[in-house]
Amino acid sequence: MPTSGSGQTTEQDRGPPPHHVAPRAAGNWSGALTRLTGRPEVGALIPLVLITLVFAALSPTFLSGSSVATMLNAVAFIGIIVVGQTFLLVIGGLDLSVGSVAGLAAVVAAVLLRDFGWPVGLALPAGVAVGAVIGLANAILVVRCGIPAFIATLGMMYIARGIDYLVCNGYPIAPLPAEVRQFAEILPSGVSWALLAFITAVVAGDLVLRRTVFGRSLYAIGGNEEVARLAGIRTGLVKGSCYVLTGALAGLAGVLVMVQVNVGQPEIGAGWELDTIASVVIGGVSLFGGVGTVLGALIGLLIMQVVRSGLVSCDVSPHWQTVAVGLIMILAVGADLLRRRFRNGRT
Amino acid sequence: MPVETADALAMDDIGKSFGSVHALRGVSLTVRRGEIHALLGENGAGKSTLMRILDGVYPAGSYRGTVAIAGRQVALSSPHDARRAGIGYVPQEITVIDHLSVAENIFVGDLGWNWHIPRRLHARAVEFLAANRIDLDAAETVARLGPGQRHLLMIARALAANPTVLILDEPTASLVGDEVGNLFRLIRHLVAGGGCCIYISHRLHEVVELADRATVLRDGKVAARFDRGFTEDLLVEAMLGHRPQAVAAPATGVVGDEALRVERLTVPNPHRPERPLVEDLSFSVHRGEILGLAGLPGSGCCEAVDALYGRLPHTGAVAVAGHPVRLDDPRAARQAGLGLVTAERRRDGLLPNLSVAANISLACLPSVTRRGWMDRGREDALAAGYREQLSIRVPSLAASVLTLSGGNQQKVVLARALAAQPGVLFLNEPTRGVDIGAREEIHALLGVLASRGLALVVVSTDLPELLRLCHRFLVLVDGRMADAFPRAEASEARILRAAAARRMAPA
Repeated sequence: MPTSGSGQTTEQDRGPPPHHVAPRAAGNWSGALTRLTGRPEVGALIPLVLITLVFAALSPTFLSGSSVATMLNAVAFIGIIVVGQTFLLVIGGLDLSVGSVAGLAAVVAAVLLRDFGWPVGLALPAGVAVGAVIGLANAILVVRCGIPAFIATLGMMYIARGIDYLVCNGYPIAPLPAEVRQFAEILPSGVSWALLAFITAVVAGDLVLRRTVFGRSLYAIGGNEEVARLAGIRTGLVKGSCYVLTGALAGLAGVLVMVQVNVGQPEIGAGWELDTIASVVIGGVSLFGGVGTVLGALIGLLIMQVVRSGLVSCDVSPHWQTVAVGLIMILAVGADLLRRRFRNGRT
Repeated sequence: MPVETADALAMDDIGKSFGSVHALRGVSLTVRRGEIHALLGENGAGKSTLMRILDGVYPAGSYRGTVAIAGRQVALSSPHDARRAGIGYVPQEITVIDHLSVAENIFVGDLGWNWHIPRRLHARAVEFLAANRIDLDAAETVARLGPGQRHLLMIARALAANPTVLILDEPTASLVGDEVGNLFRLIRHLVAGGGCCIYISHRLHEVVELADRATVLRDGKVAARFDRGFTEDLLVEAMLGHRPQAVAAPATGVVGDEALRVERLTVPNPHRPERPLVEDLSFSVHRGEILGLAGLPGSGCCEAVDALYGRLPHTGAVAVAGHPVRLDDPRAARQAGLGLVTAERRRDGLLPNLSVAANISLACLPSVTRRGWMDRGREDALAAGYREQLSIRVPSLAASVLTLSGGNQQKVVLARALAAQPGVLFLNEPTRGVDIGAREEIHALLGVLASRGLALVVVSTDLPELLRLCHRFLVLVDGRMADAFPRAEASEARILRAAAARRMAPA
């Protein structure tokens, strides 16, 4: 008994008309909607809005202009690195050395400014270059030598922090030349170089990941590296450049902290490696690679900051912030897993 | 109290839906003791769903209907339950533990909480393998086994639990020649002892040879039941719901210029330098020609193709369309105008995280950009073109590639290779695990591609497929060319004789 919908084709389908493009008209709205709900960042956006509303209700000043500006300036440093960390997680890698690299870059730039008399225009790029060089070392270890990213960058985390303390001998580098303060004060109050760099990095990172061949290559490598290689993608080069980029961004973040506090603190960046990874993961970027967006990671970052600032504005002990961050991360990933299981169960 | 005369397995009026999709509707399946029962159907017909119910993956309560094993009604809520109730399921995918021995793999589900004593386990395994006439070395590390032996190991592991019903899902997909015969003897030995077997396969000639009865599913319902005396044609008709149309053999028409010339290709074996994987292989393919590479696994066919696509280090001279090329990596091969469709979709064919459109455009990303930016319109247009040309059945190009059936996934992999506009296309097992309908379509498409001037090199262990597709044949044995002949002289017997020839002689 013949039934409909068995998916048989008729013979005339087989003569392939070359590149006939089917008209695309109807169904785009529902398609866009599915595409939207299917996006990982949507899963994180809803809790962000909810949490923000709860804190806004509890504390009237929470959503005031100055409070929001403070929050954005606070996430800016980590936010710069989050873009690189997102790229790395998408290809199935990660970088645990970002915090140490930030500290090292800050201290090196500070030494160049104070002891060698380098101008700001050279010393700050030099700090970024230090980050890029360490990123290159990570890239060589992971891509060429095949050392797992976790191990290679964990090792680099210790090495960079050690060199950081060796360079400054354990003491903060101060006072810095007046030029540094002047550089920080070019901008109107409420805006920092870090904030500008952060916004630039997020916008550029989002465009690169979604709209360029390079970005698509990252998803391909994260999904199945061998398939990417067979398709002619230079997987080693692409992966390596993600490590270099992340190193450079970490260096940039560290240098900008130094500019902001006007001291070359060796402790700059402590704990950032996990903060950045937590943000990215909360934002729906899979630790197993191939999935996630910069926008999602940004939302994850904001969730962490909103909870931290919110708890402060509600006079909760700062130690609870740390507990909260841990809880959120587990909840976010757990919710994502449930969502995926639900979707897969239906297909 | 189980009744001795009861059927070994009775699944009655099974229904299962996923959301609004009815995967199974009122399906009944009975398997008698001492019977080999074939379960057939195209991909998506409901075979896997039915077997997952039996294997406890879809737990009791998530479907309608009843399951009885040896006359006793059971409620299976996990694969562990299914094992204990007497279901032995051997899936299509290889699931063995590489770094353990054969013996440890066989009893891995049954090690208990006692001390693990390798010597005793080994003795037990040797005895078990001998009793079941399974040709495996209990002490061997699994990592050293070939795909055929691994499959045999999975069957041994299932048998070790003494199942009432043994389910074999495409057991011969990775077997060849002797191994198939050995497997059949093993199955017959099992059912002669009162066991029974559900045999799922796309290879209908095997089913006709082996099975006592057959149940054919189509669109989630039982389309036909056969007792003895069914033929391949009857089975195909029941699976498709209509008579299959004969596909015209590709025209042995105009053969154009030389597209690929390979001279003295040698692929060293990293583990055994004295026996290269491929040795001194020379051949050429012309535009418009389909060349078939045949041989048993280990004969070097796959390795030759992989080497020519830059996946394996090799020596020898290769010229594409008359120009000498170096094929150090896949990127170089792609740029030289070569394309490859890999044998294992899941392992190295698909990007599971991306959409159908992104899977198709992967090998020609620069062509779907506008001023350096990815252009979704161009990408969708490219994908839509191939969706039409290859009849890829997918509701939306933005859908995840994993939601497609095996046949459509294979077409996506093929579309990707074609989108890079190769002059020579290598295909390794182009229709493995693909249902009959899609298989016909792919075969027809390859014929069309050849007639348009593409040169094709097909590696397949499926001899009827090769015979049907190819204009010329090379048979490889132990990495060397053993025979070469045109279509007019080709037959299954000739390929098999050539492929088995030197294996018989002491190497």
